[in-house]
Amino acid sequence: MKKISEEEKNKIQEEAKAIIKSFSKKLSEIKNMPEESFIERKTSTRAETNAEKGNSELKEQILKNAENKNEDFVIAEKKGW
Amino acid sequence: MVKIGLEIHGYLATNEKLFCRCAVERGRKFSKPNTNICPVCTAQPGSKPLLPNDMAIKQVIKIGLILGCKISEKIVFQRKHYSWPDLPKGFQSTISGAHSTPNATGGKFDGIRINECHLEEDPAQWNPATGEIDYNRSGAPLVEIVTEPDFKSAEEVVSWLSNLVATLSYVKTIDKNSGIKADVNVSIDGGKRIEIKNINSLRKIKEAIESEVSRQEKDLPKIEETRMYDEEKKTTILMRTKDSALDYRFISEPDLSLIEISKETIAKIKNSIPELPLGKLKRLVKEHKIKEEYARILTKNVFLVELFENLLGKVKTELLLPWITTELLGVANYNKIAFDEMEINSEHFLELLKAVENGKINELKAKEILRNWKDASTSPKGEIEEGKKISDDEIESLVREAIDENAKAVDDYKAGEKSSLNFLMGAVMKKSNKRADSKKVKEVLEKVLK
Repeated sequence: MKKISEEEKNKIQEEAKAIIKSFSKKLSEIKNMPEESFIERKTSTRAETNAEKGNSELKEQILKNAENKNEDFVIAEKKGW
Repeated sequence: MVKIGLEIHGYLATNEKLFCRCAVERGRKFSKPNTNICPVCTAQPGSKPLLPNDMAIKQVIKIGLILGCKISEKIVFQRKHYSWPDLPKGFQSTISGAHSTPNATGGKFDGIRINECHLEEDPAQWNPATGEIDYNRSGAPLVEIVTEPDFKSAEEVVSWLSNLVATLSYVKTIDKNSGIKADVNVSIDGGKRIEIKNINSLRKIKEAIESEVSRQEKDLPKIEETRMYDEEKKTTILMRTKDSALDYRFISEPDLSLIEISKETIAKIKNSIPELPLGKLKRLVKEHKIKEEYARILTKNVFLVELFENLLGKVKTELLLPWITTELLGVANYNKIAFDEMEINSEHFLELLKAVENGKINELKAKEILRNWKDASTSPKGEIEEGKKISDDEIESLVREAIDENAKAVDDYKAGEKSSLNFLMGAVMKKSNKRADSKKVKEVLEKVLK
């Protein structure tokens, strides 16, 4: 990995600040910017039905793609605590 | 002065997860690992949540009402970001956080102020020792109840939590197989607040608070920390310094719409709340003249009190009460299970009690039948027939057999050792296969040994 000098670092910092400043300026020029982007729907919740149980197909697919696994589980990192 | 506040997580009793149709199964009926899963709850690329489960939202509103809270009429899910192996999406969907109004706020329950109560999804189950991840519970709905730091001692916390659990069991909103877990915030005057994460039993909560207070008294915390309780070492251990709301980078969930809860819906849920433990206790004492000590035992468990009320008037109350509060609960305690885990059919129990009341079988035989109901009751008809009390003539014949076979005990009794009579009674009861009336056996033994 290439090391950057203090001089280069300061230059990048200045350029980054300028980009953000310019972007902020452009954003402030937008009129009527929506505050949130909610989805409009007539219903907003769903009723329960008979739940779906025992889908082993997806389990097989996930395990197939997993780098670390055993028969039943994907193995993630371990922690001492 | 010690200040303690709680963040209580309860597993909501729903069929489906919060944002998908996968089944929620916990407790004794655990499924095989990673089988109740779909692209949504395992966060496969491109998957989007279904609309939130209506049942889960209504249950949280019901809990909020019981806790005396104000119910929010507009709710918005937030994304709470953190990086942990149990969180496949990289964020948890929750109705809490910087830009949200929780489902319910500002209540009071049993003297403790409730800050808020909200709905969120459970992460997956990650075993830090093996690294194994089970996504079966990923996306299951949870309620989080946050109290103000009004508790002053571990005892007060445990008593309050027991009352809360009993009360919530009456509305059957919490999954009875899973119980609750709590994060406990402890601070003492002049020190910073310490959070103890994920404690899952009342005993451990009590121990954790006591050990943490003692630790803080020796070494006043100068920064906020998140710790865990180590049961073996009986102390709390540092996990990390406390995350702040900024660390979670809360944003409104763009995949879900704003949810509006009408006043009518809230009123309907309020009207559906049944009589709660305190009201029931008062009514049992006043209307049915039940001693308060019995009423307290009964009202601690909704299934127990429902069984009692179902059978009230069908057998004598003085028989029903001890058979429920002592004998039936005794079977659960002996087998180290909760009473709810025994599937007791009230008709079966009534048949058994009727047989005792009518003198068809003795109490010893009835207790033997009851002991076999540790998982589920069955009709006791056959056992009652087989266990019918034997006649006085048969008792006398068995008494004579027992006397012939136990000459030493007979001699001891005649020499004044009264306890030998109990030995002889035991021998007769054994010969009768517990079908003899013990009072009659004693009477006949005393007569024959005269």
